Amino acid sequence: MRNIFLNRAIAEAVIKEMELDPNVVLIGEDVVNRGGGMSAFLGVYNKFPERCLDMPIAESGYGHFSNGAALCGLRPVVDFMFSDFLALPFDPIVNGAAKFHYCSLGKSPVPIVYVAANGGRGTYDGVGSGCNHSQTSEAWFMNVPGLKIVAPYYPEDACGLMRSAIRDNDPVLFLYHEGSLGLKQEVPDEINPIPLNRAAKVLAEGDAATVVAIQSMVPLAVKAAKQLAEEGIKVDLIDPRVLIPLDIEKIADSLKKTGKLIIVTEEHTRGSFAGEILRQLTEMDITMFRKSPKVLGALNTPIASGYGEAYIMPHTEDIVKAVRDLI
Amino acid sequence: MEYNYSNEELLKMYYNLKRGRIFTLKMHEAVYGGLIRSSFHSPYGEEHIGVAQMCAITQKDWWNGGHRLQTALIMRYDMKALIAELFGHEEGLFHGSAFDYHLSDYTDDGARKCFGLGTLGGSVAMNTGFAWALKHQKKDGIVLISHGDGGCSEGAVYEAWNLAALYKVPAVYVIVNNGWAMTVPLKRQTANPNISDKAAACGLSQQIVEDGNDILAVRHALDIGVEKARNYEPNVVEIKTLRWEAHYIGQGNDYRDDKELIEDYKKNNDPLIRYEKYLLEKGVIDQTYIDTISAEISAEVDAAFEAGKAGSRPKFDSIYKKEYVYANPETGGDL
Repeated sequence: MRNIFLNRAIAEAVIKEMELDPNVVLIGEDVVNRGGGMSAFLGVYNKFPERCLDMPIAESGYGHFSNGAALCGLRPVVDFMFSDFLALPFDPIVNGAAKFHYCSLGKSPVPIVYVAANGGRGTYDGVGSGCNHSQTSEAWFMNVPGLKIVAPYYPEDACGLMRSAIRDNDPVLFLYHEGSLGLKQEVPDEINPIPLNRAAKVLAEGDAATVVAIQSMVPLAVKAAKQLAEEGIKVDLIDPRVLIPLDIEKIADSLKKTGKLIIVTEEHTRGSFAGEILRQLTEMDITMFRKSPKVLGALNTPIASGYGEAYIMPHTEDIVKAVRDLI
Repeated sequence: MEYNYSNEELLKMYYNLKRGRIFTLKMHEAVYGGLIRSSFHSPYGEEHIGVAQMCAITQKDWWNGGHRLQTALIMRYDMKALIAELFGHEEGLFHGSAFDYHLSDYTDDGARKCFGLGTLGGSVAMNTGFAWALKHQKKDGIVLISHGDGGCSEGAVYEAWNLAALYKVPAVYVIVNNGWAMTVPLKRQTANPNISDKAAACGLSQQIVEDGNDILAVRHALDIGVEKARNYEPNVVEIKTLRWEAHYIGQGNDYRDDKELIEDYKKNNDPLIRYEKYLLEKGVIDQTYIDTISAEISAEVDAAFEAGKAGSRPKFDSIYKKEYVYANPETGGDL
C-alpha cells in the first residue's frame, strides 16, 4: 500500500496505458512544462515526450484536432483544464465525437478521453475559483447520446476508471474533481482498471435511507453517515462514480430496501444529473418511494469567487438534517 | 497559361466535369420533384472544383468534401447508392441517414472521405488533427481540406490553420471562395476579400486562383499544393469563383444583388463550356465525342435516378442500434 495524491493517480493511469498501447497520446495546454493546466499529468512528458503535444490556448480547435487524431487510429487523452472551459470544445465533443460512430453506422470509433477538473468545493471549505472556474458541467453533456461520463472523487477510483476510459472505444468525458487534487489516499501498489459499467460503489450500509452522493459531496456524505450512525441512524451511501452508464440497479436495490432517497450533488439543481436519477427511478417503479425524494444541490445562481462559494453548496449538516427530516 | 497535362488526364477531367454537370442538373429536377429528403447545396457552376480536387490527389490521400463537392463524391462513391442516399432511402450508402454532407469512409481501401461537421469550421480543425496523426504514425497520404468562404469566418478554422503551420501537418487547405455565405455576400463577411491572407498570417504558404473557373488553373494550383503537403508544408489554395444558385436549391435567389454577374458567368465563364472549348480547339475532343459521352452519362444518371425513386424508406433497425451509438455498447448509456 502507499499514499498518493489524485493528480498522481491520474498520471499513473495515463503512463500505464501509454506503456501498454503506443497509440495513446496526451494533448492539451501545459502538458510539456506542467503536466497539464492542473498538473494532472505530471511525469507523462518525461516518460513519453514524443507522445505529448502542447497546445496553444485554443480549446475548440484542439478539441476538433484531437477528434481527427482519434479517427486516424490514435487514442488521445485531451486536457481542458477546468470543466467550465468545456464550453469552448462543446462543438467537437457534442456535434463531433459523440456522433461519428453513429453517423458512420458503426464503422468509425472515436476512442478519446476528454479530461477536465469539475466543480469547486473540495476537501477544504470551497476552492472559490468563481463563476468560470467552479462549475460542475456533467449536466451540459448528459443529454448527448454517444458520450460516456466518468466522475470519480477518490484517487484510486480516478486511476482505475481512467485506465478503463482510455481503453474504451467511445468518447469519454472524464471529470475529476477540482477540489480533490490535493486529496491523498492509501491505495494498493497496482491499481487495476475499474469497469465503467456497474460502477456504483456502496460506501456505507443501512436501511434508514439511501444517500446518493456525487463527487465532492461524497466525503461530506461519508461524514454525515458517520454522524448519523452515532445517533443510531444507518444509511446506504452510494457513490455512482460513473454517470453514463449509470449503475441505476444498485441505487434501485437500495431504494427498494429503504424507501427513502436523498441525492447530494454540487450541481445546480435545475436540469441536473440528480434529476435524471429521479426520472429513471420513478419510471422503473414509483412504489419504491415511500416518501418524496430530496435533492440537495447548489442554488441556481452563478457562483461567487472566494468565500461566497460555500454559501450555495450543500454542507455535511445539510445532509444530516435532510436524512433526519426524511426518515 | 499552357499546362502540361497528358491527353488522358485532360479527358479524365473533362469526362468527370461533364458527368458532374449532368448529375447536378438532374438533382435540381429531383429537388423540385420532392425527392430529396434533405437539402441539396448545388455545385452548379462549381462542378470543376470537386473534379480538380479528386484528380489532384491519389487513392492514398484523404479529403473532406464540403457543401458543394458532390462532383467529387460521384468520383469516389457509387452514383446509384449516392442518389438513393440523397433520396433518404434504405438502399442508400448509409440507408439514407447521412445524405451527402455527413458521408464518411475511413477504410484504407474505401473512399477515404473524412467526416464533415454540420457546424462547418470544426471540420477544418478535425481534419488537421487527422493529418497530424498521419504524420505522427508515419502513414502515407495527405489530407485535402476544402471549405467555403463562409466557414472561414469561424474561429475553429483560424485555430486549425495555426495548428497546421505549428505542427507542419501534411494538408492542403482549399478555400472555395464563391462570394456567398448562405445569403451573406463576401463584402459583409470580411473586410479582406482574400480570405487566404488570414491563413498566410498563420504561416501557411498561399496561392490564389483568381481565374477560378478555369479548371486547369485550379488543378495546377492544387497539384502544387498537394506536392508541398507531401513534404509537410501545409498550404492554402484559394479559388475565386461564383455561386450560381441559392444556398440550397429551392431557397430562392431573390436576395442576390449580382444577378447580372451570374448571367454573365453562365454565358462567358461557365467552367464546363470554357474547358470544352479549350479541348475542342486543342483537338483533344470533337463534337462526336461530346455527344457520345453526354448520351452515355445521361443514361447512367437517369438509371440511377429511377433506381433511387424506386427505393424504400429506411427501416428503424437499419439506422437505429445501440451498436451504432456506441462502439462498446456494453459500457454505453441507455437508449
